[in-house]
Amino acid sequence: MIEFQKYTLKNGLKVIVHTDTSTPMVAVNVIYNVGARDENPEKTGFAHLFEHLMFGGSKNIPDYDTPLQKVGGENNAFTSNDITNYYLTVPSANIETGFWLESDRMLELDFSDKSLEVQRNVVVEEFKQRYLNQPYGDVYPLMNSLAYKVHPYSWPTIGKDISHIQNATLNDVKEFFFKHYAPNNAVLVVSGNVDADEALRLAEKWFGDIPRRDVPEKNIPAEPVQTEFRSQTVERDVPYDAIYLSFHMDRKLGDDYYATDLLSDILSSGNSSRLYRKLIVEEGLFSELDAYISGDVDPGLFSVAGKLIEGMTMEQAEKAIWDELDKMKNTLVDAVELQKVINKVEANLIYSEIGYLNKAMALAAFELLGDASLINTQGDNYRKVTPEKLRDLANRLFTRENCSTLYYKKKSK
Amino acid sequence: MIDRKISPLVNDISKIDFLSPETWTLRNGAKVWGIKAGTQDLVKIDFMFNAGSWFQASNLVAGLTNAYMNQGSKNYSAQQIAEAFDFRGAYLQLSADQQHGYVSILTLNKYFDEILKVTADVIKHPTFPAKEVKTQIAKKKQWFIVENSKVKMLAQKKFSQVLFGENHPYGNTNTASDYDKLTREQLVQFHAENYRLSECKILIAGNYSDEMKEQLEFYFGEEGGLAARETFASFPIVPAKEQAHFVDKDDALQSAIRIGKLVVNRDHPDFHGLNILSTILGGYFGSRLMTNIREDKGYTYGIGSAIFTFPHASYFAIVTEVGTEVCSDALTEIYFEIEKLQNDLVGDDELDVVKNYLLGEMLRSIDGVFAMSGSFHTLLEAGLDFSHYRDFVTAITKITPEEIMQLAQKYLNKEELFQVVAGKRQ
Repeated sequence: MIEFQKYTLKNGLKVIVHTDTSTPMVAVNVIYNVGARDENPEKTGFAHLFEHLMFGGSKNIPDYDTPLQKVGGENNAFTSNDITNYYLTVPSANIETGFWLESDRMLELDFSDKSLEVQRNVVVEEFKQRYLNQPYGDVYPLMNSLAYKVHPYSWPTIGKDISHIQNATLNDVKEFFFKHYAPNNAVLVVSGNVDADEALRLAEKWFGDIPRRDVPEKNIPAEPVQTEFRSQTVERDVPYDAIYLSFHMDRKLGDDYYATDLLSDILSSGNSSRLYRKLIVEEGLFSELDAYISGDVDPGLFSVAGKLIEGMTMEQAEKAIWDELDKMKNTLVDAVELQKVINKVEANLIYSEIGYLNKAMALAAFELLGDASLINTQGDNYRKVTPEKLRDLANRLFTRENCSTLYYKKKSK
Repeated sequence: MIDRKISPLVNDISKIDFLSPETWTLRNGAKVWGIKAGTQDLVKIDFMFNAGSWFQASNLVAGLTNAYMNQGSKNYSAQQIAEAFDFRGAYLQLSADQQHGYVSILTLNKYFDEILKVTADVIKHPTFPAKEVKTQIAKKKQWFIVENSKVKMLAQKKFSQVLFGENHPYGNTNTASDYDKLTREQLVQFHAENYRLSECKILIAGNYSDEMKEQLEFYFGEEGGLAARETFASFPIVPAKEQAHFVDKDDALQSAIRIGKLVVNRDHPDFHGLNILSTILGGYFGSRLMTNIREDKGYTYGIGSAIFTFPHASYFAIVTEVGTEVCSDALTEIYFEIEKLQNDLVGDDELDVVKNYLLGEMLRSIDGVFAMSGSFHTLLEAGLDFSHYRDFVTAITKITPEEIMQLAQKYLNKEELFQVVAGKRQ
């Protein structure tokens, strides 16, 4: 059970405080309700590029990092399809510096041409380092554009194309900031060695006078139901063939979400899981094989990804995966097997309670979804899942019409 | 109205409490370090053996012996071992480096006995069944080939060979064909020879009880195994003759760079100062290299420098991946930043930032039971304890700009630095 206090400031900023005195540190975490799904299809990669610019100095503080490092602090940020999350950790004696820095960049950024020009280049190098210059690096963008035809999840957070990043202008940047970066579009979580009254006092002091802004209603097009099997074949200069299957699944707050997560665990969590035992060890078909869910706010993807052992064919690999998925549709999961994955989820929840920063991020994400207290009902949601529910879900999920398959072949020499 | 241009008060953070682990010895001589901490009822245990690649007769043997200990033991099949851990939400992690073979477990206290029982069988009586080993080797070989198509791997491998020579255990010379030559018998023999409980170092961290200490004695204290070794083999370090090296990868969009040299070990008086120098150059986000090469020029997504330590050697290295077309400009800027540290004193403001950043990192490194265990693990590998970190804190508070400059002049001369680039030749 993770205890926390919740307040809303007059400008709409939600503030959550979680006290954990087992650490000498505090985390200040600010999550903004903006991600790649909020981007214009012609200007993709913007939410992420913007995250980089948030470190280029704010209205009253020319340099974000130096003052933080000077008090023993450390920080970073990440952008997903749905959100942008900024976090810092600092010895609790210097907590106020964290509030000072985070509030000033929520108030207003220092929009500079130099910063934009440099960060465009940095992000282009990040694009290369993560996606273009890695074997199998383009799988994720390829799969998402195959599975999503309308919804903005069709492009990756880094952007659809390098040119979108290269063409970003300072005007785009300003417009984006005032549209999405607002106290009434964010959640502030303070966790660690701080009491709730002090955290709230500092939140009022530093964030209280930031003006509320007009944040437009989200108007994200829903992905139509997929009605026929989709596939794509690519050839790349990689050592081994690989195959990727994706199925449309429920949104994060949907009724099927937790059960879908357990389906993926039964298939591939740990060395005792079905895909590992059967297809990697017994049949020697794959060198790597995983099933996982995307966990997005809007309906996401359940994916199976495998690298083939040399000499195995794409047909063998595809059939073997489908055989395992069909088993989930036709046979009830054994009670002990279900208990196993539930036990593992429960243990992982306990392990995760050790980190004050992890807790801050999770509280922030759940509050943005609607309610921070969802953090404490996760265990129950998993425990409620039954073998019948899993079979029923597998029957709806694992159909050919709901499937997109990417055949990723090594170039023939 | 608050004045947002003025920073809040900065408070001193240099008083850091390092908890002293308790230590005891099992009947057979295995040494245990215990860090009792944390609010959750869980423990993490690391078993460290003198079973790294230092002790192997041919490539891969140490790493794969370690990796396949979970493929079957006297009393459990691979499947049963996996089930035992998965069903209890516990984790068994196997890893090996140049010096050690590690077996680590993470479990809730309520499953401690069952998990320890299986772990003991895995450590003491692995069987390396032929079929499982064959499957795992095929899988691992493919992983190796994928990894070796990345420029950063090509650069790092060459760099290790350049620093230590191809016959030294720290010089990585593994090839794909080594996987084909490996036999099950080599693994069996390596395990019997090197996983000696009498030499084992055990690190237990978490909310453990006296009863759990007794269980540790019960499962791991038995006598009768091979005695601890008095001395170990030694290997001469033979660095490359040439300073600059290039590894070709014609389709690369980025070049991976490694620049560095061998430096003093953790027990040398210069070590802490060198670590601070390396932090100024490339050890944090506001470092000279990040500021110049990422934040001013945009040549890279990230660049850093650090001191990498082994029990018998240490090296300093600058590590980055940069756009192919800006590679030579990036190299120029890297050497420019090094020379600046040799010729100009670091400003007091900058040094103050670095000192406080390092103190904050020190706090983070012992914050929480996992972090504390991880930090102590690093020290144990080198035969040290938390007094090493206490000395580091003292060094941080005392070091002067003059000393930094002297260290740069002593350790970072361009003509002594090795340079490896992997990528497309321009």
